[in-house]
Amino acid sequence: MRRAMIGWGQMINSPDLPILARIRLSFHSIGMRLALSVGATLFVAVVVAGTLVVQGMAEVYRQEARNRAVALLSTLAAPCALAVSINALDRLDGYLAEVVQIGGSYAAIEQVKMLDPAGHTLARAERHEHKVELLDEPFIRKVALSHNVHWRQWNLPDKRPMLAVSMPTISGIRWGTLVAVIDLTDVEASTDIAENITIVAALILTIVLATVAYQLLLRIVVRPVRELGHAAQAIERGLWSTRAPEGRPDELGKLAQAFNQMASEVQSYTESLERKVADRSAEVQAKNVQLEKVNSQLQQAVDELAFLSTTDALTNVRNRRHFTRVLDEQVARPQTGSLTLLMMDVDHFKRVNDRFGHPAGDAVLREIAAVLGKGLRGSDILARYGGEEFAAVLPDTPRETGVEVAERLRSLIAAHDFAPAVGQEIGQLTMSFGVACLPQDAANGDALISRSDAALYQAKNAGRNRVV
Amino acid sequence: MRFRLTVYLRLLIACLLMFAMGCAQKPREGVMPASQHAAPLPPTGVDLRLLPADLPEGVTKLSLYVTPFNGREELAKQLQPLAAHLAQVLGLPIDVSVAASYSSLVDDLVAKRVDIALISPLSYVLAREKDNSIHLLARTLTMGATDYASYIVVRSDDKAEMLSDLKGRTIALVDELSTAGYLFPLAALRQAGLTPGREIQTKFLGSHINALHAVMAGKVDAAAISSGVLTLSRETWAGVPDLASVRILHHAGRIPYDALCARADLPKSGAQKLAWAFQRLNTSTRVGRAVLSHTEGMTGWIAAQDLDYDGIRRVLKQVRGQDAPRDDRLGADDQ
Repeated sequence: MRRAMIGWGQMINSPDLPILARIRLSFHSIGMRLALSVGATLFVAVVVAGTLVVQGMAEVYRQEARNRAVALLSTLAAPCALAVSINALDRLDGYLAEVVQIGGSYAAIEQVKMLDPAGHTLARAERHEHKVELLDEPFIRKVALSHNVHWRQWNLPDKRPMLAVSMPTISGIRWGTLVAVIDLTDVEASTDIAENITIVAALILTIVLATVAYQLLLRIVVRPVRELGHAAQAIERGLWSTRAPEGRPDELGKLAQAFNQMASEVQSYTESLERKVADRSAEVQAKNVQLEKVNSQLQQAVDELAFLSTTDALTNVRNRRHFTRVLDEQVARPQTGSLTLLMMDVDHFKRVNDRFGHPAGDAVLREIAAVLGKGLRGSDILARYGGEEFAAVLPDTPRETGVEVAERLRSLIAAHDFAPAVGQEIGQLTMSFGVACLPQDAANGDALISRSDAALYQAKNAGRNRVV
Repeated sequence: MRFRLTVYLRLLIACLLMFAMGCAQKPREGVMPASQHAAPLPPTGVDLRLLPADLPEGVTKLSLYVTPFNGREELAKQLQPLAAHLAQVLGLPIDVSVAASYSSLVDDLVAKRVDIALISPLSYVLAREKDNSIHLLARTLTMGATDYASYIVVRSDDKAEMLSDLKGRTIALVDELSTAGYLFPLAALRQAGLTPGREIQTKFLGSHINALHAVMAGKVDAAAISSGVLTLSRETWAGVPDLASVRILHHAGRIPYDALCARADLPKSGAQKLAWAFQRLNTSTRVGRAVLSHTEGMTGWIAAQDLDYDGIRRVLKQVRGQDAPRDDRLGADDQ
């Protein structure tokens, strides 16, 4: 189970997968987002820092160029002051031409000129011939009057960057203003190259470091988090024994430990809960079994009670109440055939009681009931009607059959030798039988009883031990 | 794959864009403070005519004397346009003359026999030692420069390579009150262990050009001269021997050009007007060029301060502090 849980890590490390399948590139993963953020930050930082350095260097170069121009103009100040002071402008021209000719190729001096206080050009020398004025009128007017060194950087129409530096020509008094124009193409071109190198270097550095950062993050953060997530999902699916890999000393390791502890608690809690449920189920089952047993006992008791309530206590045959009910049921039942009722009475039973005592009489009654029970068919219902009088309901029995049954019973009784106790020989007894049949003899139960009773009475009167 | 930029990344990109925009705005123009300042110019449009209150009692015309650093006749003639210009500006007749010697001019200035004097820096320092209330009006600009140099020159074929090589030989000097032609070379010689009259013989020839000619002609072994003389002789005097025949053996120091002074009893207001009249004059203006074009390299005057000559005082103190010969006039006042 646990091995299946850390399957993600196995998949990643599985050597038969192509590398790209192993690295899931998604911008919604922590690793990618962090790597992207780190990479972007790095890129911006390196570009900004690099550009600042390059710009700083370029500014130093420009400063150098300005200082060079100032130094050049300073050295020119004295001879130019002399030339102007003695009104020898041809000499001035010579000095400037010399400077441009010699310094032009070394210091990229494009033009040097001397202005008078009104801004008019006293002398001018150029490395290349320029048909238009390099410097604009406002700048010239400004520097011609200023006591400071002025500089300006601008681009020619052909994009060449130019630096102009002006310097008052002072030797005791202000004799004029010297202006040098320097071509900064080399400086600016090297700056541009350095800036491009910076950006490319930043890009390479960023890619390398972002990849390293991504891999590190994958190892340090993303994998443990994913493993934890998978473990949580497994637990959600009910695999309670799942655990996240531990063993890391960092926060994620502690998180995994805490997670596992929680999972253990959840597991043990769940298991104890399941155990309790199982226990309860067994208990309920046992109770059910018990209940069933009690129920059957109860049913038995009820049955017994029902038996007892319908049975004559002495003879163990149905009592009169049951007889009445059965008769009513049979009468009420839609009749398919005839219903025959037998009323039976022991002949001269009083004599038995008188001669042998009531216990012997009771015993005789029990024996009679037994004999009658044997003689009846399974479907017939025998009951003690009262005293020494018995009745039997014979369902679906025509009168003739009833008479036959009664005759058989009479014979059985007459043939039976009653000996209720050892040494007590009662001998032969007889019974009289009255037979009535529904629907031939009576229309309802009461009438049937009366009719059979009457028949019994006739049998008695006719000499007993007979069926009428 | 849906890709949404996080807020952080958006911020980063915004930063980068702002940075790029910031970078695009390079400084295109700027000012650097000047390391050198022109001397203050006098106010324009001020009437500089001298009133009686601006002048010492009883003075109705001014005399301007210049040091005879070159030939006297020539100099007097060159300065005539200057006299005419000043007379017009100041509303007063001006007499321009060339003094007989350095020392006589200093004496005359201190004694108030001369109203205005253009004297060498050393002369000025000594004059101020005698009378501290002598007015300093301006400094001369020569060939557009405020300072000049003192050279010790020898003939090109001379074997000497340093000052000490002049031991036992003769050097031509200008005047005992000349700065470039005496004070600075003297200090340099003494520093090289050459005491005039002992290790080295000296000859005073009165002017820089005379000293230069003497060394060219082989009358002396070396000469102490001011730097301006080399240029002047090359450009002005025809027929002088080839300047390539001399070479500079030693640079003795840099010296501010001559001081324009006025007598001590000139009222301050007058001294101010005189100073401004001179300071307005230089060859950067048409008037200045007209007035000064005939002079030998005088191209104007600038405001001056007494401390401009402190360098001279230091060298003078150095020279006096050493074991000077008895007849050395430089130390005379202290003894």
